[in-house]
Amino acid sequence: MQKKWLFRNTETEYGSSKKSFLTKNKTSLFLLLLSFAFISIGIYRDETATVLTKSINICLECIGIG
Amino acid sequence: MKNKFLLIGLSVMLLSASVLSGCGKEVPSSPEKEETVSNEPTDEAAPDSESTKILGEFSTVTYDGEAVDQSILAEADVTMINVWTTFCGYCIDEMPVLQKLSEEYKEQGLQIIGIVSDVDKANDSTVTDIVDTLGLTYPNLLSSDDLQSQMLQYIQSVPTTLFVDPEGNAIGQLHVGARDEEGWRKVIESTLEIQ
Amino acid sequence: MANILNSIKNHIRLCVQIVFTAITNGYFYGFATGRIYTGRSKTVCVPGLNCYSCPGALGSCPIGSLQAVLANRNYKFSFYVVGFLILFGSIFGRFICGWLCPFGLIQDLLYKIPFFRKHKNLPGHKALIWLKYIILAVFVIILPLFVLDIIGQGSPWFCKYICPSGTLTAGLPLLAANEPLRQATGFLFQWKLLILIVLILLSVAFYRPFCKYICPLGAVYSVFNPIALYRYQIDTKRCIDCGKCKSACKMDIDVCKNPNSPECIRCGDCIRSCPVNAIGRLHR
Repeated sequence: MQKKWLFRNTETEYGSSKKSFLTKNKTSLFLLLLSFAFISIGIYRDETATVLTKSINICLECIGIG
Repeated sequence: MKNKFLLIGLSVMLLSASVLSGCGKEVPSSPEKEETVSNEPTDEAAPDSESTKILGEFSTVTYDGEAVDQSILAEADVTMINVWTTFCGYCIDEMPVLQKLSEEYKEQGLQIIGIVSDVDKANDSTVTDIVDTLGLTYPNLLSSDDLQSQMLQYIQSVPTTLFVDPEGNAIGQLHVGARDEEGWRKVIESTLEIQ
Repeated sequence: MANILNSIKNHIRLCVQIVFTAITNGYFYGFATGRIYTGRSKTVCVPGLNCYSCPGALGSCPIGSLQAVLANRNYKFSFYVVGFLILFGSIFGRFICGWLCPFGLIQDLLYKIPFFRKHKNLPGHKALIWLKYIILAVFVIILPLFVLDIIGQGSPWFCKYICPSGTLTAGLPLLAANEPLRQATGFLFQWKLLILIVLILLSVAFYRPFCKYICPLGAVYSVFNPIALYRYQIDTKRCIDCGKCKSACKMDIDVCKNPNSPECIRCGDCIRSCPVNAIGRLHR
C-alpha cells in the first residue's frame, strides 16, 4: 500500500514553503482577525446573554413541540 | 464490527423513540398526579413526599417593580401559574386567552399569575411592552432567587402552567405547552373540580 | 493492541466523529433525566449542527444561536455568532461537516446500512445543491429578522419548521423522558418527524442528502472551503487523469479539477483512491 502522508513537501506547484506564512495566507489571517473582532464586538453587545438564555431554556417552539 | 454495533444502537434508539413519541397523541389525560414535576433531580431537596408543597415563602417583584411575596397566593382559592419567557412565541400567543379566562373565572375563585423566568430586573422594556401591548391585567411576576431555587429550576421548557392552592400546594399536574381557549377551559374546569 | 490501533488509523474519521460528538454532547445526566444542561459553556458555539436543546449538549448550535440573536428585537445582526462561523470556516471549511458534525455522523452511519442500490445523488443534484443557500437566506436570516410578533420578536424558522437534527437529538430524547411534553406535541411535531424520517430513509440510499441539499451550516462553511487553512491540493505533475478520485468521491466532485470545491466535506476518500498519490492535504 502506498504510504499516505499528511503534510505536502515542497515540490509542488505552490512553490517553496519557505515563503512567510503571513504573505501566503493574507486572506486567512484577515479572516481570523475579523472573527476575533466580531466575537469581541458580540460579547460587548451582550449577544452572549441572548445565546445563553435561549440555549438553557427549552423553547418548545424551537424544537417543534406544542 | 464497530459500525454494526453503532448501527444497531442507533436503529434501536430511533425505533423506541418514535414509538414513544407516537403514543403522545393518543394518551388520554393523565390520572391526577400529586407530583408536580415528573423529573426532579434526586439530589435536590425534593418536596416532602407527604405534601405536595411546591411554593413556600418567596419574594419577588412584579414586572413594574412592586414587591410581592407568597401572600399573593392567598388571594384566590386556586392560583394558575403560567411560566413564560420573553423570547417564547407560543407563550405570547396564548396570553390573550389567559387574560380573557382570568376575568371570566374570577368569581369561581381562580386567579392567574404569570412568571417571567428569563427576567429578574424590574421595568425591563421587553416585559413591559408585552404586558402593555396585550393589556394584561393579571399579575406578572419576575424571576427571583427564591423562585429559582424553589420552583423555576425544575421548569425547563416554556410555557409551563401549574395550579397551586393558597398554601402553595400543587393541584393536579403540570401542563407543558401552550393551549387554545378551548384547551385551557377544559384544564381549568377539571382543576377546579378537584378542589 | 496493534490491531486496535490499526483499526483506528484506518477509520480515523469515524473515530474523530464519534469522540467529538460524545464530548460535545457529554451531559449524560440530561439523557437520563430528560433535562438539558444549563451551564455557562452553552455560551460557546460548537462547530457542527448540534441542537442546544439536546439533553447532552454542552454548547450551542451556531445556526440556532444565529436565529436567536436575529429574532431578538435588540439586534439586526449577530457579530458573536458570525464571528464564530468565520473562525470555524476560515480554519476548517467543510472539514467540520465531515469530521465534527453529529448529524453528519448519523448520515454516514445510515449510508453504511446495506441497501440493494446505493446512489450518490438525488435526481436533480446540480440544482438541489443550491437549495441549502436558499434555506440559509430565507429560513435562517430573512424570516427570523422580518416576520415579527406584536412586540417585534422573530421566530427561529429553521429550527422550528425544518431542522431534523433538533428533532432527532433534542425532540425525541426529551419526549422519551418527559410525559408532560408528550402531551404537548401537535401537528408541528408530526411535520418535523416526517422530515426526519424522510431524511433518514433517503440517507440509506443516497449519500448525505441533508448535507448536500438542505443544511444551512454546510452552506456557510462551503463558502470558506476554497480559502480555508485546511485544504486539498493536486500535484498536477503526478496526476494521470484516471478519474478514480471522481468516482470515489461521494459528494460527486471532480477532485483533480476542483480539490477545494464548496461541496467537499474532506472525507479523504479521494486521497485513498488515488493510485499515484497526487492529492495531498495541506495546512497552509
